[in-house]
Amino acid sequence: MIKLHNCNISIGEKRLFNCPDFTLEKGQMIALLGKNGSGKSTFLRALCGFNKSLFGDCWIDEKPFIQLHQKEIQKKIAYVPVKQEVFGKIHLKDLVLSGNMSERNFMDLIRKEEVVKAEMILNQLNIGHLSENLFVQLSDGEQKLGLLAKALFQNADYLFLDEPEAFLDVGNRMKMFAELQKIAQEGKSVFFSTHQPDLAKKYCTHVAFIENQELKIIDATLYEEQLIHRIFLED
Amino acid sequence: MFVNISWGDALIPQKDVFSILCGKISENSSWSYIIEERWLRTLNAVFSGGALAISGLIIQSFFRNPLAGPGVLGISSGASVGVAFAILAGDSLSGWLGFSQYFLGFSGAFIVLMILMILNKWVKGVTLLVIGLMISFFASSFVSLLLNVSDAIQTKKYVEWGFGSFSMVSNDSFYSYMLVLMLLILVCLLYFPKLLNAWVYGENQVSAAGYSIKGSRLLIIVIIGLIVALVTLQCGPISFIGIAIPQVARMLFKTSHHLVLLIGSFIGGAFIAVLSDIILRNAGFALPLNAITALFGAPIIIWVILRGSKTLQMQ
Repeated sequence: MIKLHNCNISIGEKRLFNCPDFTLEKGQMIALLGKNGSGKSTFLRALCGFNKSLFGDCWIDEKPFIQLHQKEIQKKIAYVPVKQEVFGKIHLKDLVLSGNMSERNFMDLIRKEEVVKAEMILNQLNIGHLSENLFVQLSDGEQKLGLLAKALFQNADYLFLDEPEAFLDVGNRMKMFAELQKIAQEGKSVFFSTHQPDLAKKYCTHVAFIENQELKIIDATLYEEQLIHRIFLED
Repeated sequence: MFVNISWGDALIPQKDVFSILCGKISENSSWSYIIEERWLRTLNAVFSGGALAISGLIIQSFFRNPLAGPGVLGISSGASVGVAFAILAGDSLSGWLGFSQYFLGFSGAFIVLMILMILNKWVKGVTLLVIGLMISFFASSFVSLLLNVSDAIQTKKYVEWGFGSFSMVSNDSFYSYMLVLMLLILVCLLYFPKLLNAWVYGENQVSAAGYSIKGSRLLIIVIIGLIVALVTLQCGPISFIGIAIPQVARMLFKTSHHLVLLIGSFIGGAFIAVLSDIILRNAGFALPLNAITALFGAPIIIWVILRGSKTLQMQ
């Protein structure tokens, strides 16, 4: 369980939003809504330990966040960015295998079981035939599924995604969210930022939103159209 | 390697070359001197060339830019300025390179690396390369100014150094140079594969792989700076090996795994360095080493640019 109490997300002096209370429990799937620039991505990355924008009391699995080493966080949280830049001849398979890097030694030698597991996950997402293709030559949507495969390969308890719906066609979007729902039902936690409120209602257990620089969370069943107006259109 | 040892101005039978290498003493004592000289020279070429290629590979993955290299980014120029300073200021120094040359050479290389690292936060890709080139030009014009106020012997010494050569093996510091260089190469091969594998995905992956970003960045900078400064000081500013060989390695191997690429770059760098040295020694007239490395290096770079945009993400 991830628990935040009296936290705020700030970049330097600038406070993006406050977070009085927030919990992410096992089996939950939470969508995070908010205007452009409200701090959604910063929040996700802060919880992954990629930036130092989270201030306040935060616990991950009963352990204080500030005491966790980056390596421990990585074992717990898998992160899917909006887009991934790579350099060199990175094949889709290499990208998926990189999900497990923190487990390997300095030489980064890859075991055969890992390759088999990676291929299996790729097949599960119907992109197994692309595994030997160069990552940069894949379409944006295929890259996105590849990034999901990498996160699944990491096999963490928490899955964080930054705009998972971006670049995907309707079919792949359904596939992506069906997969995410399955992961949540297996007892893991899914937390993603999105600009598609209808996805929140359709797939999620809860909806979190940033309103007036404050993070609030409600049950997905309580979500209504009026909320969109409140989050996005009011100043 | 063997070709380079056995082939040269003084004609020595192959049989004798072999027996001297095996530790037996031939009847002609001057031959064993020549062979020893050639053997050290070849050793120098293998490790200096290999180390340069490795440093080029690391620089490219670190800056995520296929056209980066120790020469292009002005790191070796930084070392040159230091060396020029030392040679021109310290006439009391005897031998090839003294302590002050090493110290100032290192300082020059590290100052340039620091500038590049700070700039790398704001500018990316080609912009950074252009800035590196400008640093090179700035450094070389600075050296020209220095040469203007120096006497002929000092100038000659600097110019000879600037040609680049693997022949400087007679100075006292040569063995310690080889030892330090081998250690650095070993560190690269053992510690860097995973770090660089993570680095090509960006900083998030570096911390996801369990590294501190600041710490590993510092480590990479220090190792690159040490290798480039050392090789530049010992052999002069050698161009193109550092930038071209990693490209060839990336092309030849289907993988992006840096363990393979590091070893491949080392072998490639060593091979080209020895090959250049063979050509140099048998050309019959004094050729700068850089003329030869540029002969094969420049076409490779052009080829990289031509096919670059797709797989290497030129920005």
